[in-house]
Amino acid sequence: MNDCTNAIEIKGVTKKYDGFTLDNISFDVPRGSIMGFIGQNGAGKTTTIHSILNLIPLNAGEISILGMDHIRDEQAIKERIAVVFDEMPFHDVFTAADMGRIFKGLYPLWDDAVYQEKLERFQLPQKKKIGQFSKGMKMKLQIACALSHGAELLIMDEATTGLDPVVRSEILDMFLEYLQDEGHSILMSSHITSDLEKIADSVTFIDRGKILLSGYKDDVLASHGIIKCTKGDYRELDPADLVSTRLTDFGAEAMVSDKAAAARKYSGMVIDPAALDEIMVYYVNRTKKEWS
Amino acid sequence: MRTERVKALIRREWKLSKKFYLSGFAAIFGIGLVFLLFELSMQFGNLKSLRSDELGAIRVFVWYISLTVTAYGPVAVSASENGTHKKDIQAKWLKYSYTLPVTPNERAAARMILLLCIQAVGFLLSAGWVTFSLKMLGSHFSIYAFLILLVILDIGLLMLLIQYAFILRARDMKSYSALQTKFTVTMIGAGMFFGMLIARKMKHIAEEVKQDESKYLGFMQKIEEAPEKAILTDWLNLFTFGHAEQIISTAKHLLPLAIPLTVVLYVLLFLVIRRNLKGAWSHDRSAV
Repeated sequence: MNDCTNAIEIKGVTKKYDGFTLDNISFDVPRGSIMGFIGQNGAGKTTTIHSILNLIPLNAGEISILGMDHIRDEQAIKERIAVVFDEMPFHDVFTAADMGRIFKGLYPLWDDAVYQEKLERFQLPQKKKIGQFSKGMKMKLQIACALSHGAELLIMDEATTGLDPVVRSEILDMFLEYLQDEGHSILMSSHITSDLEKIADSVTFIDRGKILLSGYKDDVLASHGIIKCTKGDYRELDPADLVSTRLTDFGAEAMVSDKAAAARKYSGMVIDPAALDEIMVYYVNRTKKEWS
Repeated sequence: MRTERVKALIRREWKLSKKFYLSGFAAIFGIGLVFLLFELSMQFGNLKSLRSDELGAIRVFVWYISLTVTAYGPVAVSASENGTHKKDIQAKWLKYSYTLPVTPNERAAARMILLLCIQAVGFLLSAGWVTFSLKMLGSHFSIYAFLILLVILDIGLLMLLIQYAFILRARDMKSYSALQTKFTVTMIGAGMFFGMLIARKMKHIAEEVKQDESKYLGFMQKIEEAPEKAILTDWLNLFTFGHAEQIISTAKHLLPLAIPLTVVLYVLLFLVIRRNLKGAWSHDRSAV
């Protein structure tokens, strides 16, 4: 086993499409942690994941997964990772038992006992055709398959989108169990920030193909704050300290990226903590500076 | 290459395509049964009451058609595109499959092994029924019947090769439809081109026949008078305006080439499958 400290290392990755560029992005996913990869639809989350998986050729940059090069060592990497997409990729005519038999042949470390245990835990029928499964059942089956071959890294692209809170909660619990092994890591792209706030150790925020933030979730949450003040007080704030400002009928809500410094500088003002979804919204509107 | 992985891929592809192949073989088996019913009726049923020359003519007609359908049918079914690639795109499996530890060689090998197995079954079914049809016509299965079946298989393989060269490049339904259309247009274009070449050749032969019409009428008369005694050369003469011997002589020289040609087509098919399933999505962001 490779002793690398990061499960994923992305350096200067660029991918150009007509009308969109994944622009020189860099970030690391520390080993043994879960990273939330957040951003609005079309921000570049899926393109980044496809780059990591070598589904698309890059224009520039390097990607290392579990200490190996994502192109040169593609086969070895793919034996040790698992991927869960937002859409069910298994044909409707198959059953959970069929998928178990197929994956057993595909993965050298496939563990039938673990797979059976996951199916039982998720209450998934063995013989029922996948076409008759609900969306939640389909996602659970995909996750059961992903967690049954000893994968050291789990990559998920919007895997919890469209699922009801009960199913999401079951799935998140399973991810937390998976992370009990210190060698396991998860990269989870989502725009449901509440899920990530619950389980993520670190977050990376992408917008319009650029990484705006990457770091430990607690640090990100601790460093950001929202100054709630009157429009008159807002005019006194230094624009350089602000990410962007939401103007309401009652006043202004301005986000700062260095809450401690802002607290010292604007000692008379109230600075509320910011949630991940608020951070996302304020950063998305950063070019407008003021919005309502 | 890992054997277990190839086996798993074959199992998956078989489950997806077995309905296509089994229904194709069943349909041909059904047609074969119709011919058998005709034969039973000619021997024991209502058709037995016909005059012997009429009965002979019907028997020859029935078993020649049977020979054509059964010789081409199973081989054609086994060499047809089974729709797996389209199903994989629709089910999103294609994209997912590139996250699995499967090499392009394993991917192509699985498809080829399944294809070879199906084609072996198709070939045996064809050979079996052709032998039976030939027996009903008072003939027997020969090396040339085998080579003709191989030529039919090669035509099927060539079509499949061209089709795979187009459609396996598709990574989403939009590009699949576009590539399928390109394939269809290409085949229509090729068909028109070769059709015109053949028509020009036929025109030339027809002019020869005009000059010596009595010769052509001679073949017709022979078949009409004693169809049960007509041999393959007579029928070929009828359809080629008296060029049977020339065709048979050319075929005798060319048919043995069917064996190396089959091998070449299989190798090309493997390379086309491997190249076109190699991965990497297009540069169109909406495709991923």
